Amino acid sequence: MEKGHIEINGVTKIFRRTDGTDTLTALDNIQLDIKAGEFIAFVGASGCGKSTLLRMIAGLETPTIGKILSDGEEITSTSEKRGLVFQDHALFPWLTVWDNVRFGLKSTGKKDKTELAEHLLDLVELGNFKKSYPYQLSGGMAQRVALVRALANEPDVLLLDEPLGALDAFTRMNIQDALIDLWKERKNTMILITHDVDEAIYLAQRVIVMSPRPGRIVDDIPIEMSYPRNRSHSAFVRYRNVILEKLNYAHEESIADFSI
Amino acid sequence: MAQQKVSLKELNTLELERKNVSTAGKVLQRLITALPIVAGLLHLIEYLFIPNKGMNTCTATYAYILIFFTGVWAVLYIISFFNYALYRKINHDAPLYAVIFLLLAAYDYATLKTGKLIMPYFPWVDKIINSVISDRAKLLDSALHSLKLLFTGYFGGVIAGFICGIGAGWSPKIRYWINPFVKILGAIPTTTYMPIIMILASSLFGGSAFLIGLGVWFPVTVSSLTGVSNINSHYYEVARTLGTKDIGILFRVVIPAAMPTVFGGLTQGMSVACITLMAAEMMGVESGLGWYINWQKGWAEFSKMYGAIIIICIIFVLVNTLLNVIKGYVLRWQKGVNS
Repeated sequence: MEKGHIEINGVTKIFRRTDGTDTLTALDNIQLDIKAGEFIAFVGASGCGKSTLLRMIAGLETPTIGKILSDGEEITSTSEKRGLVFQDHALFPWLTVWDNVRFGLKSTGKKDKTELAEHLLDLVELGNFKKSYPYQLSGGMAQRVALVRALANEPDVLLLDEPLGALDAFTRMNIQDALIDLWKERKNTMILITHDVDEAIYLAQRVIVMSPRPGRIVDDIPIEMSYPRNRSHSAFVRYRNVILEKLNYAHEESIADFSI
Repeated sequence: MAQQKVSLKELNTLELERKNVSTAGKVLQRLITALPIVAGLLHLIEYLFIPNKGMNTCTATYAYILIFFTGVWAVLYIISFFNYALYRKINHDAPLYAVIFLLLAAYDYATLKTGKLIMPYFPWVDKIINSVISDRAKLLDSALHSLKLLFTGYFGGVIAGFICGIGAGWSPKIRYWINPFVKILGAIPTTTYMPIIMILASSLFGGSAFLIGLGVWFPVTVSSLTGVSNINSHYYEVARTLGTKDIGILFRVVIPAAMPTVFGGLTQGMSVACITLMAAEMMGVESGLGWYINWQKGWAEFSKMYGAIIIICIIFVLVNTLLNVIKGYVLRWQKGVNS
């Protein structure tokens, strides 16, 4: 059986305000099935709970109601099967690029299995930077190292929390292509959080549109285009219009009836 | 590799900058770089050829030392014509060293040559050097005692403070128990406890080491605690998703990430340790340089006293330099630490 199947079963997340007086429903009854090896993207305005959902899949937070299953097993804590990349690359600044990339291998007792790490580092064209420290890298380079660090551990699922949000437009496009290459190579499940609609359409096989306060799924749009995708292709533009319309719609009538 | 590139680039910009300077400007800079030689020679002439006041005597020792340091500068000056990096360095330092030579000359003139500053309170440098040389066995012994006490107390305090601080930063339960003690004990200068320790401690060495340790414990605890509290939570989260367990996170994430802040506490702790050391040795411990100073003061041997003070100064500077070298190595991953 292929690994990396994620099932989100009626998940609701409620936060209590710090003074304890009020609660905030971040996610309301989310139902979703993510197939193994699928590239899925979540788009939505800030406050729609997409990051919270990702953190719950990672095992960093638990749902208030409902369950998330990873290959049939309920997620209760973090696992090396589900890698995570943040917007701030979060590379360990005290380690060289190479030690960062091998960090997970040391933790999971696969210290000597460095062929993949080496190969991935070459794939993102950073093979010559093994001995550099993170402060010596540009933002785009650091983010590529963060991707390799997560993938070197051979996770079944890679969780991407707006990984390209802090980068300039050109770097972002380069890394988007690198992401597709890495995904095709590893064939793992990719779950991307973004507020860039173009990025979602360019990368994902399926785009989940979410609405804020409380976070709900507005639509589930399969992107039926072959890779590499052309940003000015008519189909691409059509998808963009559909999604933007959904987001606007969600903005104006967010209280109205949404059924999933 | 990258670092070499940077320094080359830096050198090139400097070369460009240098081209804008006129020939006269360049010659002037070369002359300024030679100033310490001139000042050193002036001092030497002052020392050798102006007659001493009254009964004041002096030896050749100081003259040799002056010749040595002036000579070192002269050699560096010659090499600097072929080594641009060295030239930049000594060109920058030259005015400072020239002034130091002149100040020494002025002091020598005011004491040995004219007696404007009266004996025995202001012995001239040659006299200080000779008393250090004649009492070297006792001074070496005292210095070793001081160092032993300093490092025993310092490392004890650093280890205790590091464990407390990292523990308190890591676990709210430990923080609950440590925080009140940090607040209360940290507010009181450790020298306050000195009289109690002198009475209670079975060994003065142990008691003083404890006091030094206590003084070091406080800043190291606080800095370690702050260091842990300020760690980017994404580091933990990434480490956990990479399959790292609690102990691994402690040793491979928490401690290295807290190190830059911890070093602030280590430096501060060293200065507290030096203060406490001197206080302890002057108040009760019957060995070490602090004791030596007090003892010589009793005999009105002021030149020996000054000698010991200069030695203390050298030791503390060396100890702090050592600490900085360690810091530079441990934090080599930080931007600007090694560039």
